[in-house]
Amino acid sequence: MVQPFKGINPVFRLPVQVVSFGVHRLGIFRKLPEGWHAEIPRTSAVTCGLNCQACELAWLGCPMGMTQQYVIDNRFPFYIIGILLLIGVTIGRAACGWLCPLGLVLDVINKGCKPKYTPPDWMRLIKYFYLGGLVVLASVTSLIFFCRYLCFGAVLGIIPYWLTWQTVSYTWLFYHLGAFAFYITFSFYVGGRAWCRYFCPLGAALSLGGVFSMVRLNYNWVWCTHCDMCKKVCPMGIDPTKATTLMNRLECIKCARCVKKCPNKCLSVGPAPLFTPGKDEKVTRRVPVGDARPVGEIQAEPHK
Amino acid sequence: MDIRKSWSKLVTRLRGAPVPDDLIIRLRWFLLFMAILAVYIGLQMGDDWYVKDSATYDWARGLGY
Repeated sequence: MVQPFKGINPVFRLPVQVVSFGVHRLGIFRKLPEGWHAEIPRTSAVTCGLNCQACELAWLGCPMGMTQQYVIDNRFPFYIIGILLLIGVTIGRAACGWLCPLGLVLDVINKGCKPKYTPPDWMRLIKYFYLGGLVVLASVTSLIFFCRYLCFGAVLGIIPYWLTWQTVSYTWLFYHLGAFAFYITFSFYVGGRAWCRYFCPLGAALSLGGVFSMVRLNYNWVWCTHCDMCKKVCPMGIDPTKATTLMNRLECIKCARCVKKCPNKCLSVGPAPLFTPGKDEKVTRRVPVGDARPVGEIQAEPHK
Repeated sequence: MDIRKSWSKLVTRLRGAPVPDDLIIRLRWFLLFMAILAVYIGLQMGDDWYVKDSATYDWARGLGY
């Protein structure tokens, strides 16, 4: 017997990603009949994805670019920290899996690629160094250093910028295209969302709040046959059966690929409990959710 | 035991450590409150930031404009 979906149905992910991508590009309305209007201001709203404001079509600010600008201006980024924390605590890294425009690009590019090598887990710490480094480098160099030299998201900005204004030197254009090629090659080799897994500073920022996220991955061990399909399809290279561990809470982008792939529907992406059950409240949940059971233990309900 | 081994052991332990739901639920509301407070302070601090001067293509312009 296969259980029905109890959480968010993963079939909605692609439409949500496409709509999110479109919404991020609403700056297209900046193009008036007489040409591009750079003087039309962009909004100060921060988005929850890497969405370079150098892009002609962007109208929402990238939190990482804004943070650097705050640092350069010697202002404490209360607003950015607040927004990142707000996103982290509410949807957490589901923002990476469902809303980030770069995430959609990566998903499309990496569709079907199979990992040939699994880097060591310590490499996941690189993104936290990127996060700290972008603040330090911005204050030292007074440049939006990260976006200029290291960011994959700049590809979304630099190419439309070049196409519309043709003012970017070819050196920089090829530099960014080279960086893009490097990350793509790396992600083909490693599989899945290598950028999000190892390098994305925004992902690092969201993951810190995402530990407390109101959206989480639930695992029901009773029905699990340990076929490991979920591990194989996970673009973040984590083990979804260890849903409550720190690693999963930091890394899981709730893309629900494992949910879709699981033959027994043991996994679901859904809301986390908002309140602790009172002492007198009877726990009616019969099926433990969230903890992996070692292989070999007797299953409460045999898999049929 | 050499440092590398003990370090990797610590990382493995931390990585696999279960985070109790109770703790998360309690801290979540606190963090949510802090987040809203930070956004409020940020908006109160001034409206002359980022967007008006350099939110556009300043850094990209610096690449060859």
